[in-house]
Formats: sequence, C-alpha cells, structure tokens
Amino acid sequence: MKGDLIRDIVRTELIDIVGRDNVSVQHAERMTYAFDYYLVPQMWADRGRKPSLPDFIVHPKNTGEVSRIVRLANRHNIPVIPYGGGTGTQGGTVPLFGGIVLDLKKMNRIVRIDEESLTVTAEAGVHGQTLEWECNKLGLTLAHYPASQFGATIGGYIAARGSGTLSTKYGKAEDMVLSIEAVLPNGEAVRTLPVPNHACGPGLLPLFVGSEGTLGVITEVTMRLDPIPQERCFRAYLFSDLRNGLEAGRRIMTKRLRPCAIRLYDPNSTHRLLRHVLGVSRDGAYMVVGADGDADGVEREMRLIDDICKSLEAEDLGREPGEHWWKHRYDFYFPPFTLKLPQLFGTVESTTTFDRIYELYLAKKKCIEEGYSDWSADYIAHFSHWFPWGVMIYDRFIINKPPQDPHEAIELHASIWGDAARCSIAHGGTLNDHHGIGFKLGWLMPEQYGAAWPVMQMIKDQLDPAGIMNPGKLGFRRK
Amino acid sequence: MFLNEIERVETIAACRFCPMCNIADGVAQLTCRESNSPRGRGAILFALEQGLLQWDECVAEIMFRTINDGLLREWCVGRYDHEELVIDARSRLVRNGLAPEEVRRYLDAARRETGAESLPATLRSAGVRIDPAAECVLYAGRFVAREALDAFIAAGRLFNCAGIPFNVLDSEPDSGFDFYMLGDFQGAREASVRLSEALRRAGCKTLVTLDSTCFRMITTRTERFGGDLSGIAVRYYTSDLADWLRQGLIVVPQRVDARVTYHDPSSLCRYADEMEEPRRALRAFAADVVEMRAHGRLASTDGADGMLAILDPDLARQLAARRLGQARETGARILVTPCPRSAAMLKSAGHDDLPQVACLVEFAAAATKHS
Repeated sequence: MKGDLIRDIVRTELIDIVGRDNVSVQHAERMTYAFDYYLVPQMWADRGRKPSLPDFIVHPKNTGEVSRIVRLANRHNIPVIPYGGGTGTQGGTVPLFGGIVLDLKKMNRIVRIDEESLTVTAEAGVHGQTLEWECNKLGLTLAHYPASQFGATIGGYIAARGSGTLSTKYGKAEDMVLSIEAVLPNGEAVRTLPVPNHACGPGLLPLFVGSEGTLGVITEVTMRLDPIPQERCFRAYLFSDLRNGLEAGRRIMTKRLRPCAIRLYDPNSTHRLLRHVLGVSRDGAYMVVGADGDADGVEREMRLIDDICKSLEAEDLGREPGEHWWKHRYDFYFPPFTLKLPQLFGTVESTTTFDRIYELYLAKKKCIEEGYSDWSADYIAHFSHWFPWGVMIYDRFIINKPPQDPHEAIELHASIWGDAARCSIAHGGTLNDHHGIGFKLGWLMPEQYGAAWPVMQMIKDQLDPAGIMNPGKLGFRRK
Repeated sequence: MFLNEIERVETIAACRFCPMCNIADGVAQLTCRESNSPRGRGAILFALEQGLLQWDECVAEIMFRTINDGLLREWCVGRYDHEELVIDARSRLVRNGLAPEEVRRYLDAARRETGAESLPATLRSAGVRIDPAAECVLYAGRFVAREALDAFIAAGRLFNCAGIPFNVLDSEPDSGFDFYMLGDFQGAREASVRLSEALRRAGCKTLVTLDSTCFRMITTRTERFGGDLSGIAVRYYTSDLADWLRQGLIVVPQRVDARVTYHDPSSLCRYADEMEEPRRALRAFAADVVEMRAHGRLASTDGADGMLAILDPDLARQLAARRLGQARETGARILVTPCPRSAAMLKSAGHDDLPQVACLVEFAAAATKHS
C-alpha cells in the first residue's frame, strides 16, 4: 500500500471496526503472515529476499465485523486475504500484493452440535483438532484427519477443499460440508441452503468450497459428524508389483467395500520413506489398509479385503505395521522427517480414474526423473484417497541440490510443476486433489479448465468486480 | 547457552516452517495471533537472522509473551526445543536492554533481594521442629518463601509427622529459575553459585524442594550455571511423601470422599518425569482420583509457566482458567497439584465454581493432622 497517510487512515477505520487490540501493523507481526506452508516464499526469504508482507493484520470476532472490513477494503480498493491456520501448501494465504490479512481465528465459537442429526455448526476460525476434541466428548467425530489438523481451521478445510487420512470412507471436506455462511466481496453476508442435497437449482455451496478466499470469506460452517467407531483396525500388505497393489485397491473400491483408508506406496517410497520413518525395510509396494465401525462389520470387511489382497499375491504383514502406521501417520510431517530447505520439492498430486492411474504414474515418473535428470530429480508416490471410480496419486519431486540463485530456483520449480501438471491433465487427471491451487498453480488453471475457464473468470468478475478478494490466487485475472 | 549454535539454527529452521505444534501452544490458542505461535516465533527469529527484521520492542513483547511449558518439545516428533530457543532469544533481548519494562523491573527487584531470612523462625512459630544438624534441607524457593508459606509449613509438619529430621537454610538464596526463564543468565549464574555454596555451608546431603520450578532449575540448570552440587541428592517432596506412605511413616486415618483430579506441573511432568510418585501419594489421601484428558507429559499448562504472568497476568490467568475447565469436565470437586506456584496460579483463576484447588502438601498435611 502506497502512502503513510492513507495507511494510517485505513488503520484507524479498522480500529473503529474491531478495536485497537485486533489490528496490528507491527513489522514483526506482519512478517509472521508472509508465509504459509508453501516452499517458494520460504525459499525466497531463505536466500535473503524480502517476503511480501501484508499492511494490516485484523482479527474480526464475528461476521458483522468481517462484512464491515470487506466493505472498507472495497472502498479503499485494498486486497483482503482471509487467513485461517496458514497451513496450506499452495501459497493461498500469502499476501502477494499486501493489503489486509483477515485472521479468522478469533471467530472460534462452536455454535451447535446436533446430536440428533449428527451435525456441527461452528465459526470458521475453530481449529480442526479443537473441534474434533469437542465432538469426541459426545462420542462423535468429524473423522477429518488432514496432516494439517493441529494447525488448520475448519474454514480452511472448506476453502481449500482438503482431504484427511480417512477420506476413503468419510469423504473429503467437500463431502462433509452441509452449508456455509459467507461474506461476499461486497460485504453482504449470505447463507447457502441448509442442506446440500436438493433440487433448488445448481446450488451456491460448491461455488465457495475450494474458492480459497477469492469469492468471499467463509465465516461459518455446518458439517456432518459420525459416531466414533466401536473398532478401527489396520493391516499391512506387501505387493511385489505396484500394479497388483493398484488392482487390489480398485477391486476393493469397485466391490463397494468401505475401507477407511488404503495407502499404497510405490516401490521408491516403500524403499526409502518407510525405512527412514517407520523402520520398515522391504522392497515392493507397501499397502496399509484399514476398516472401522462395529466389530462384526470390521471383521467382515477386513476378511474380504484380505481375500482380495491375497488373490493378487500380496504378502500379509499383519496388524502391527498397519497399526504402527496409523499411530505415526503424522510423523512424516514433522521436522526432521519432512522435506526441508534447501531441498526443492513439490507435491504434484492428481486424481484420475482407475483405468488411467497406472499410466499417469508411469508418465509422471518419467517426466520428472528423465526430464530433470540433470538435477538428479527424485520421484516418490503413494496412492491414498480412493474413490468409487478412481484414486488420488500423491506424488512428489525432490531435488536435493537446487540452484542457489533464487530466480533460477523459482524457474526450475515452476518448470517442473508445469510439466508435471500438464502430464496429469494429459492423462485425464486434475491439477490437484486436495491441497488447492493458491498462487502456486493458478497460472495453470486456464489449461485445466480449457474453454470453461472464462466461465470461472466471469463468476469472479461478477462477484468481485474490484478484484479485492485474495488477488493473485486461483488463476483469476488481477484488477 | 543451552542450545549450541547448530541446534539453535536447526531449531529455527524447523520451527519457522512447521505448524504441527500450534495446537499445543496455549498462548497461540488464546491470542489467535501467528506471532504468538511457535511457527510465528520461528519466522521472526529467522527473519532476524537474515536481517529482514530488527530486534525491537515488538519482538521483545512477542518473545516474553510465551508460556514455555515444554509442551511444544513434547508434541514435536523431532523433539526440537522451541522453549529453549525462546529463552535464548530472551537472553539476547535482556543483554541488549530490550526486555519489556515489566520484565526489567522484575529482574531489578529480584537482583536486589538477599534471600529469604525468616523461614526458620516462621516454621518454629508454627510449631514445626527444625534440626540444624540434619543433612536434609527443605528448600522453599523464592515464590514459596514470599507467597506460599502455608505450603512450606505443611511440608515441615509432614517431615515431623514422618519423623524425618530436616534443616532449613538461615538465609535461603533464590534458585535462579526466574532469572534463567527470563533470559538473565548472569543473574541465574550468580544465584546458582550462591545457592550451592549455602547448601555446602549447611552440610546438605539431600535437598528436598517444594516449588517444581526450583526442582527443575536445580536438577537441570544449576550446575550448568556453575553451581557445585556434587554429593547433594536433589528430590522433589512428593517422592519422599510417597516413600513415607509406603513405609507407614505417615498414616492416613481417612481418605477424602470427593472426586479428585490431579494437575501435572510442567516442570515435573516434562522436565523431571515426576508423574507417578505424586499420583501414588494422592491416591493414599483420596479414594476417587480421575485423570483429565490432557495429563502426564501432555498436560496443559496452569498458566504459571514461562514467567508469562510478569508481562501478561491476564493471559496467564486465562490459561489457568482453561486448565480449571478441563478439570471441571472430569466432574472432580477438588483439583490437586503438588506445586505451590501452580496451585496459586490456578486459585487466582478460580471463582466460586468447582473444582476447589488444593496444593498436595497442604492436602496431605490436613489429612494426616490427627494421625
């Protein structure tokens, strides 16, 4: 934002809305909102470059305050960046053009847990883990276990269209949400229909799910709950060949069994990652599969899964490694087990149908390993969110010694991402499965949507004619 | 000082990128600010290292508004010591005269103190027998000597009741924990040396502490600050209490009927692994002891940690109130904690609602009064 005077005028107007304690312009405070979990801004700063800072940090306490802030931003033509836990990996909350970071974490009231209908309504700033703990007290669970659970908010779950470890049974965040309240870019607060299943036209809810703050600010969410299952168990198998593992997953899903998790590691991941983190040292394709529910149902489900896996010559490794995986499922995301700078890396995951998934895997592996052999690019993959019609591939590139020059490093990063994403699209896949788009992938959105992209842009232009909502994200044209 | 340079740099690198322990940071949860989260502090320290930010009063406010209860290290799979990183940052701020005014005033006052003079007289006037020849020294610590003398008297009575002779230092020096936690390493060094010399002069072979922070300081930091504790065993009083109960030196006529829950002070559960003995002792006094959801090594803070109350007493009280709320969920009528400092903090947040807060030493002394 240019000009000290206008900055101070906006600051006083913000104080008028939320109070002095809820507006910050301190340099150190603003620095902490310059990053999320996306590598590039971190790498940029790591090489001594100044990050993009917001001008104001604002902590609204209710929807009314959000409305007033958004109206103010419209009046002054200032960017507004909704912020939950800041755990996204795509740069979705990075304030590329400064402006107001709207930290929603003070909107952290659980409005109602409906034990009859098994739903919960909560403000957008409630932490995922806090919500889970509160539901657990009543014998209920959201059953949404993303790796970001200890930091993310439920508004973020919906805005980024995330996925949790047990999504194969319980669905992604988009499957769990029933309705939302959102503040539109003009400051008007609206609610979607109270239930997601209806015949009242196309439905507004899907418009906001995955919108990453570009079409409005999600302020309240109603989500589905489940009873805490009586029993949950996991078992591990080792397939000599990845194809057999994929086929086992396909048969499990197309027979309409309901495992809570299937996680199949490719041979490279099996060899490296599992030995490093879990102490399992085996070649092949390692699969963890789980079921939950009442004891009889789990026993039956696991028996049928076992039959399928063994029919494809899987070695049954028993329950212990499966349970170990469940217990340590988040360890991968804690340092030092996670990838870290100066490594250059990216999760280039995609989703496609069963008939194309293996070809997609081979093509992307080739694209990265051969296309970037000069950089000794490594490729690892696992398959972890399974649908009745297909599966997500969670694959990563890793370059251990990237260029030191930040411009070269960013160029290399973008080049790999571009190639990997185009490879996914060419094989019937999507740019992304559950991390979102942010500014990392925004530039590829027109290619993903093709002739339909202008429709998306028109929606954005109609809702946000001034372009103040989270500019630079999701590929929308910047005003 | 307690992180070497490699550990310090690695901890900053780990924390600046990682949101995995945000949920475990009580201050981050209450203030809802990124700058009060472990990742936010990591980002700030990283930016300071990179020259992207200057050490200033805002940085100082952030680094002193932390609870530093050890839960972050406990939560972290990689065991990065974020709390020690914060203490390191505080020490830089103190050295450069950038600590917040409240902290400077507190440190100045603490430096001027010469030690607790009246402890032996206090005990004697309460009818507690002290044996100046005893090799066991009961240590109050600065907080107990100033704010929780009832607990100290209760401890003395339990010693008497068990028939264990003990001594009290004539002019009891501070352990230096507050200096250490606030980043005044010079103050901590001087206190550590003073205390160890006083213990030697008194012929101490066993030191029994009442304040959990003193126990943590003396067992983990005093020698590293230059105090010589060779030949002195340091114990937390709950170990002795549990021993006396086991040996029948203390008899409990009747256990308390009401449901009781137990709060683990962070200095015991996360820095001393002292979790079983206090529970064993408590079970001797109360029939119905239940656990809170967050207990043991993952217990939530009582608000007394990190010297947070100096800069932000209201926030510290909110953390204590949060812990009381967790105790309330168990249906307990009494919340017992062994550390007088923790008990005082929890009491400060309590209203007329249940549970009542009790310090284990007073709880025990009251229960054995007629034995």
